[in-house]
Amino acid sequence: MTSRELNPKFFEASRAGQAIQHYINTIHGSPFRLYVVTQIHKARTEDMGESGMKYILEFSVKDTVGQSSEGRCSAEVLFPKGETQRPPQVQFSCDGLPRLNTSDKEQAFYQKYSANTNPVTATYLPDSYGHIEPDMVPFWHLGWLAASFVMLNESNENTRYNMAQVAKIKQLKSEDDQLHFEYEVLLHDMVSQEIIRWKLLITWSPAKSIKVVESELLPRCHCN
Amino acid sequence: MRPLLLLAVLICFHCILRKCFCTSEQDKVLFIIAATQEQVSLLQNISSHNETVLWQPASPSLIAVKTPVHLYVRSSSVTRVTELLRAHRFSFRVMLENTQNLIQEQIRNDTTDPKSGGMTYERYHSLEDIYHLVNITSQEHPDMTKLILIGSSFEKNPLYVLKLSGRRGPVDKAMWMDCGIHAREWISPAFCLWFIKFALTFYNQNPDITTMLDEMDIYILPIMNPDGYKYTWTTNRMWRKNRSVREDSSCVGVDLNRNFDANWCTTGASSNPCSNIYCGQYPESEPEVHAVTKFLRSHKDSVKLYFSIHSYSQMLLFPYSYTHEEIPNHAELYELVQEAAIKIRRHYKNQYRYGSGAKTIYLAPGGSDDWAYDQGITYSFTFELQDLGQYGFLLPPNLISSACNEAFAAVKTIALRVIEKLQ
Repeated sequence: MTSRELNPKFFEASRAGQAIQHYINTIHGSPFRLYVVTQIHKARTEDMGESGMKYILEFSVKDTVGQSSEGRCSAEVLFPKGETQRPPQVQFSCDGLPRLNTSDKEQAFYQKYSANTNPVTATYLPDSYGHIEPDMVPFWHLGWLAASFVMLNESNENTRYNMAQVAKIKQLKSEDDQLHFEYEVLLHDMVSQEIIRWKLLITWSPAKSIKVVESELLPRCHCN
Repeated sequence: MRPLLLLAVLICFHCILRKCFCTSEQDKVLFIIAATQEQVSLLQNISSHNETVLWQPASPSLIAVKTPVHLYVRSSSVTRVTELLRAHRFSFRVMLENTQNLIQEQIRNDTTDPKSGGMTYERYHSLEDIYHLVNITSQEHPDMTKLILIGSSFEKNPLYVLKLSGRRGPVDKAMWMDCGIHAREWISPAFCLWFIKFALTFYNQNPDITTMLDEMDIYILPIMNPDGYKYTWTTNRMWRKNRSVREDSSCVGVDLNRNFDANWCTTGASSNPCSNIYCGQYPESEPEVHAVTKFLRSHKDSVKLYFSIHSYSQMLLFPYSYTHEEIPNHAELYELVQEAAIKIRRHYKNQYRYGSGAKTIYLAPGGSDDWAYDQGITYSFTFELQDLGQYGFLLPPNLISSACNEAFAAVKTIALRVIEKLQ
């Protein structure tokens, strides 16, 4: 097993950091809480042979929605080896992951849209100028949260994804005390510089958090 | 073998069909006339559906026979609604194609018109506004600026460089900064405009600005990819490349930052015209790149410092991007970007990564900073401005000023150090 120190400023480290960020969001994110890795302090790899490449990182993370203070964490990311895409396996621990109480906001959001007779539809969050109507901000975050599942699933040692924009939202009928939405999200693939479009069917409630029920990569547009 | 081939052809045909799925997806406004009472009630029914908005008349109940109806239809329902109208033999036509843009135009605050002054530098500007601002600036400061036309884009939009100089005699040193190579990185041209304004306003007030303008001529190209930029305002906000077309491909555009003659079209670029990192048919094939290289070649002796402004991901980069090898003065440039990053961290509490391009982002051949470096401009940098990805290309206007302040701190720190070194 060979181990290699990485410069935490360089892309190998930041790419692993990105995967960790997606992972933390899939576990702890909500329409009112999203984490970003703000800085990587230390990084090294361990070659695990057949099972893949393990990255061991120390980093800072904060809740960018609630504007929390930074928390210090460490994590291990294993990018599996092989021809087919398999999601990285992440384990992390934090001395106090910054966690602001958002349950009131989540309840209110849930109540508002579960009782809604006029299902929500929207396009382009944020709009071209970066603007989002205040009412729609939780939907942007929810889209980002849903996209984190896709970005995590699609990540490997040659990728780097960021949320770009929510192209479309359609609220579907609520069932089993869950809000249902159909999302189309645009992701920025840093390496190819392409914008890719995913269609996601998601459910959300404060109690059960988010579930991505269906996800589909939509064909790329070379439309000119 | 043959059925397989046929299948492949069919799949490809399918791709072609899918290809233009995206442009037809805009919301539309339909102009409809109901000829009969039956059509009126059908139309009332359609227009009550929440995926459409009745623009005229004000309410479905007011729809009458032979009176024009303007119906706004969401992109997702355009096909369904038009099919319905066709099936019921309505007479209708598409009144507005690209409503998204029109609506966004209307959302914009009219009081921030560029001609009315005010918060001009804290919002994004259309291509026309940028030309207007640059022109006005050069007219208002004839003693400190000179407008230079260095060429034109593929679609024949002018490429203007604004030369800034202090009120002093000629000097032998110069700095170059280009913005907006990539169309969707709107904060980049916003920064160039902000820089121009800031430099002219605080000359002889702020000692750092004064030193920069007294010691160097500063050439600024506020928008290197005007065609692509325009396209992001009108059609596709996520467009990156320029808008050049070639006969043998249906795909448009070349990645201008892969088109420079620096290890052109090797790993990290694509020779596929449909790719977003397409390197072009040959180095400098694009008129925008050719104009810049021609200008810099003819000013090679004076230009000592090169900046190219991009977004997003908060990085301060220097050559090489085309190879993992280090440049001869790697340590020197590393120190410069490190100092700049520390300044930003200290004053604005924001984290910028720094290092050589290939190690910090990824391999990217044919880039402008590498080309400039290989021309002998040994202080050559690419900045990736805010943010880290929360908004990415869609950085809200209220963050423009902090993004620009940070970028300025970095440019200033490096420029002043380089001036010292060149004494």
